[in-house]
Amino acid sequence: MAKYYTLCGGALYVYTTRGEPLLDLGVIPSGMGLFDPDVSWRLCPWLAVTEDAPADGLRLAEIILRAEGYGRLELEGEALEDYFLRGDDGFLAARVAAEAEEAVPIHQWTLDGRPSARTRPAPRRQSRRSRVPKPAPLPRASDS
Amino acid sequence: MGATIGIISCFAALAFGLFFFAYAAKYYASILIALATLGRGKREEGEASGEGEDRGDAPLVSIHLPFYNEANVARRIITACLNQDYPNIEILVADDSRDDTVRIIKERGWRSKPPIVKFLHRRDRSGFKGGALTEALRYMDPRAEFVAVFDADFIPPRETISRLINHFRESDQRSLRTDFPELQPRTGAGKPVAAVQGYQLHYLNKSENWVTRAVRAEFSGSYMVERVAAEWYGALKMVSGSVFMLRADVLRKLKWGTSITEDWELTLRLYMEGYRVAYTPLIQAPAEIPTTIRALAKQRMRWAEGHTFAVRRHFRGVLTSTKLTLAEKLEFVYFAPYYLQGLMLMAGTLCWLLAEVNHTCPWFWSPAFGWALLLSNLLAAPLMCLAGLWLEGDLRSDYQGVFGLVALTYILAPYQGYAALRGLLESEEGTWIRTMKTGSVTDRFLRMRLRSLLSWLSLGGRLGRLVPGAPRLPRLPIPARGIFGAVCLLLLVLPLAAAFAVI
Repeated sequence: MAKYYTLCGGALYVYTTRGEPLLDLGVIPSGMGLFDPDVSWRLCPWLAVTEDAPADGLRLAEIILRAEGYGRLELEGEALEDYFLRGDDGFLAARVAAEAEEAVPIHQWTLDGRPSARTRPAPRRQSRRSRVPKPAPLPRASDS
Repeated sequence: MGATIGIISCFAALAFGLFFFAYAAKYYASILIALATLGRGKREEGEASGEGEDRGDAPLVSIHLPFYNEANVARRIITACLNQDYPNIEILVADDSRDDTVRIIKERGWRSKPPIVKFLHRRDRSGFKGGALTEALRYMDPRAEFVAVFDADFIPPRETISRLINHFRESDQRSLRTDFPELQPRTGAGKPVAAVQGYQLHYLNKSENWVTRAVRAEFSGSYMVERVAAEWYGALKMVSGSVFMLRADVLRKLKWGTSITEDWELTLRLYMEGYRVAYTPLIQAPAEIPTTIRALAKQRMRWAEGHTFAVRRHFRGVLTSTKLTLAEKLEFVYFAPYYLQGLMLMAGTLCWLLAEVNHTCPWFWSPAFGWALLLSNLLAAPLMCLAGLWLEGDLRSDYQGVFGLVALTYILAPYQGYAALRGLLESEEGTWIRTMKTGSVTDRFLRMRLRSLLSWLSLGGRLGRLVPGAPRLPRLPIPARGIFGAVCLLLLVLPLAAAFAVI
């Protein structure tokens, strides 16, 4: 997968590896405080970032981005800012590879369905800046 | 009582008249220099072309486009920048809009193919255009070596960036040239070039009404005559808000200010740091002209206020700086009360009429001297504009604009004068009042209409006579050149001759 988003200190970064088209910002409705005229945001062919986004808007954006095939990735804002400036996605490939290495290979799982102690991935510490509320569950038809 | 008024009016008329004559004399001298240095030649064709340059050795150029509610022209300028023939560019749109422009810049088409377009949308307009350009500077690719700036109502032709880069290279070579080091302190030719300014060709809607025709003629005089002469004698030249390229490292060091005339303020800081600005009329980008007196007055009031405010702020710094040449300092002094000259002309004319009505004048005053001074002052700017239009080959089609310009000078003078005085006295600058762009095009721009004209170099005209083997500038056997020159000389000498006659 080459489409990601990162929540970092109230900013939402939506990005792809170079060559992969970024989503059409039109899919994010106006009025959510994300890519509206009264908000600061930036956009280039591989990355879009909106700053100081409201929590409600971020929750809805996550739902939309997941529906569009974007996966959440924990990255430092600095790396993404540098990506916006230079467009060099080498760091992204390295990070994705590292993420894949951290995931446990299927053949190392024990018969009871739990990963072995040796291969179990260490719990990752989430940085304070990237700690954001989980998205609210999608409303069900029966709720209305 | 009448005699006293007459005497006072006479002295006031003389003071204003002589003040304005300083400008008029410079206009006439500029016309003579421009006529002498601009000729037909062949070297421009190959010299300024950037074709054949591969991406490998082409330095990265970051094009910055400040936007504020530019829905009528946004697509046009972004497309023009995307179509540049230079192989290594990025485009940064610094957008403060609240209108439909926001929807336009979100369009996916801008991101589908190279070159790279980055959009930076701000929630407010802090710092106005300077603030937007600061944002663009912050987010441009760190590898960028040059920054080009265009206002939204311009349409830079395909070769604009290539030509700007080439002009930088030529200027660098001339700066390094040590054949005639004795010329360098006077002309500033040895100073590093921080910026290259091109011709803001106010042309696209020139046939819309008399105001647009007048402004077209005015810019022709300024960019084809006045600045050409300033380049020739090494005066201080302005970075003029659009159609220019700056060295990125210099800009990173000096940064944009938040003045309402951020270009003029940056110009002064560039010169105080020991840099200079090069100008060439060969690099042209057509632009839209404000269509109403109201829009024009608002624009000029901003220019006048910001200009005078910056002059007041940096006056001592510029004059005491050891990094400016004498010619640059003189140009600064000349340019300082620039926006008051219309007011001076009006006041001078009024005082002269009063003196004539009262039939009282001091011993050194004669009607011939008064008329000569008035005539010389009145005709200086129109003649400069006519010469500019003639040099562009547009005299026949655009000469009517000069009549409009005379009217416009009188109409705008009080506005400009008021704004200049405000800039001189206020503790903080006023706000930025934007000039509305309509996107209207009445006249198609023929790309590089000057191709046949020029073998012009910023110093080549003068060094051409001195450097062995340098191409000599051909002289045109056209009587118009001689006629312009003769009229200039006559009008320049007329008041002086009348004064000597009295003495």
